[in-house]
Amino acid sequence: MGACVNIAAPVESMYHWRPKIDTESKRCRNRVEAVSKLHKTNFRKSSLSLLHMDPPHSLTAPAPKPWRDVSARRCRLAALAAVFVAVGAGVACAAGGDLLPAEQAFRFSARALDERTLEARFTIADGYYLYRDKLKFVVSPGGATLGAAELPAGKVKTDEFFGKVETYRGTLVVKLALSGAMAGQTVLLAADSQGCADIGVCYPPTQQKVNLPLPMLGRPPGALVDATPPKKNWFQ
Amino acid sequence: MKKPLVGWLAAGAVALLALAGGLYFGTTTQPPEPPSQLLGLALPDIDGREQRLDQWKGKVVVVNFWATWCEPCREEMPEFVKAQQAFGAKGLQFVGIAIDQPDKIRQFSNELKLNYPSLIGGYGALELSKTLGNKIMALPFTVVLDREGRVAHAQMGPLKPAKLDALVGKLL
Repeated sequence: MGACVNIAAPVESMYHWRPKIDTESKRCRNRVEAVSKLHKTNFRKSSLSLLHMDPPHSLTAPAPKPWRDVSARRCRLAALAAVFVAVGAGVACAAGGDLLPAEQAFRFSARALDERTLEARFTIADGYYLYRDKLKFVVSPGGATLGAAELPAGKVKTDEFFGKVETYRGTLVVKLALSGAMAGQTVLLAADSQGCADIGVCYPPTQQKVNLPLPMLGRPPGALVDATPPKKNWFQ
Repeated sequence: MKKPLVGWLAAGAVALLALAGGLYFGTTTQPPEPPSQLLGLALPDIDGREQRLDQWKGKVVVVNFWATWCEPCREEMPEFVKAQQAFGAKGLQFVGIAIDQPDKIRQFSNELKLNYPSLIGGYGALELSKTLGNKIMALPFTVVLDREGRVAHAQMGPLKPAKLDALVGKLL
């Protein structure tokens, strides 16, 4: 299932590796790249516009009649192949599902509101959930300590083995009382969490960490720091 | 008029080939690591006795990575108990590898009346499952080995009874 991600990515990028097509028609390459980009957000629309020879305006701008010349025909061929490969892989992946790594399914970030308050945040991807009782926050260095986390109530469900459990979806924001730290100091906040995907898999307990500079006295709250900055490449 | 038609026909042929390729690579499980890696594993059972997986070589072995904190794992295990009961005599052997604390494994194994061994695997066992295709190290993860010890199937997520029957039926 997870392999789908790794399969689809090279398929969508193969035109970058083919010097023949690269040198043959720059316009073509540009279009294929655009198809790849469109695929992620609006695949259906982009494929339809290709099949109907009605490319988006931004793509036609450099060439007045891009669909009439020889290179354009080759491009059409390549683009169709790209679309079908993507559809084929997409169908196969949809059948098996496509799962995010834990740190992307449960993205942890935090910020220091002041030298005595931290704000922890989990951005939980659609189709995933976290268990309330598995959340744990620890701060270091040694002198700094956290008070009890103010965890909001979660959605209650009954687990046959563990009894009543609460889960979170969407965005979870938790305020943490910090003591023993000084304004201007940087503290390391570690968050333990464990969650599952609706598709029917669970992730082992995971720890994510962020370094948080505490604002100087009288200064505004610090910026939100991501434990794992979102990756922008196609290979993730 | 003829040339564009030929062009479109060629495009269609390429597209069909590409579609087939996409489907093939999308559905085919990459051949996992040699089975000896999994069969060479030795882990303690819930009574503390070390169990080597190669003791079941010659049988169809279904290795199921699970944990008590994984609800989908617990949900599918009664089916494994039934399959072990039904096909054990024909040479089917389930082996659980739990990524969990021994007391919880013991408690759940007793509650479910597990009729196959559940071995205690740490994070290292989960790392091993990564080499078998469990790239995101999630559970449940199940590997089916044929009688020669080769990996016949590796699956992330629950293994539905019908699929399990079909897989095992071919190998027994």
